[in-house]
Amino acid sequence: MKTIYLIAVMVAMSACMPAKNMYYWGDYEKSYYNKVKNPGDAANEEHMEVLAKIIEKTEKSTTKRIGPGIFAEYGYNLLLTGKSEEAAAYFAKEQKAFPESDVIVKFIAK
Amino acid sequence: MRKLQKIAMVVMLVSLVSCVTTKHTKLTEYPEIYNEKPKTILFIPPVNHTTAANAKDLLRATIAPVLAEKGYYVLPIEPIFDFFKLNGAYSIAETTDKLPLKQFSEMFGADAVLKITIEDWDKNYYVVSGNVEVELLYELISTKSENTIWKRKKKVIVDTSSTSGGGGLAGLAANLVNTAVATASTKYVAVAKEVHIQALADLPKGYHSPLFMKDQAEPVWLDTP
Repeated sequence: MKTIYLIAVMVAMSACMPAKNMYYWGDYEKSYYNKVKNPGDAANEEHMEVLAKIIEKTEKSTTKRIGPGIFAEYGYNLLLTGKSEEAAAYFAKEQKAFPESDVIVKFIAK
Repeated sequence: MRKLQKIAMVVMLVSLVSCVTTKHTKLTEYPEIYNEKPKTILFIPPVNHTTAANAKDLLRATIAPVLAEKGYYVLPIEPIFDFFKLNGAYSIAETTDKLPLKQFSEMFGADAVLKITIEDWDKNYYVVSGNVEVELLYELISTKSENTIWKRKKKVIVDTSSTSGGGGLAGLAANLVNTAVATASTKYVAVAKEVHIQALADLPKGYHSPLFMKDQAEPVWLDTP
């Protein structure tokens, strides 16, 4: 009896509510747009910091998950600055978190 | 007690029905996407039919989180756009109707391509508050069947003074107060994100979503052109 009542309330509440985010994005869009709009070292560094913060927060957290592409984008930027060994570690993380990234990660790593 | 049980049942039914009252469902409108179940999406540089110079960059900077939250793997945009630029293919969607879909599949592992055409981008976009009106065409093209497996033409009106609406605006508006980043720029980013959220509202959920293959009966609100 009580269970049915409870289920009814839960269904009523959830029926048309927007879903919560699956992933944690931090300030991703803002710093990425700034990087596209104002290319240069300052914007690049700022965006790398935002990516690093997302990685750090999601790795520490049990509820926040990392979104597709963050590890790969971070690794790509490390690669561009000559840090190929560090980059490889992040490419591996992307492949592990999202196996469907295999083809693109290999393409980026080349 | 019986009465309570009945009331509970009615409440349950009403709330379920309230979301499924139209004949147009995701399955009837977009059967092919349920057949193909694309996992990876390649976002290509949009086609811009307007003079709004920032529109392409704004759409590019905000698309990945919105698509990812739908359950799709968005192929990393930055390295791919760098590759397009390096190979003189940045305007590929603007210069050809025949996209190299096979190559996209082989090189990038793309299951589908998202092509956005910017039809209209409000001139009043640059005002600080008020409504922003944009019109866009979103097309998801399969690299396997080469068919358009989902399509949406959408006129989006974003109330930039409002703090509600998808959460995107509210969250970013809150950041406005705390950062040194230019106010206007932050607002544009929030608007672009809201545009994606509204335009992609009825895209069937992807592989990573808990609703993957469970949203076929959801209604589709067709826009009157």
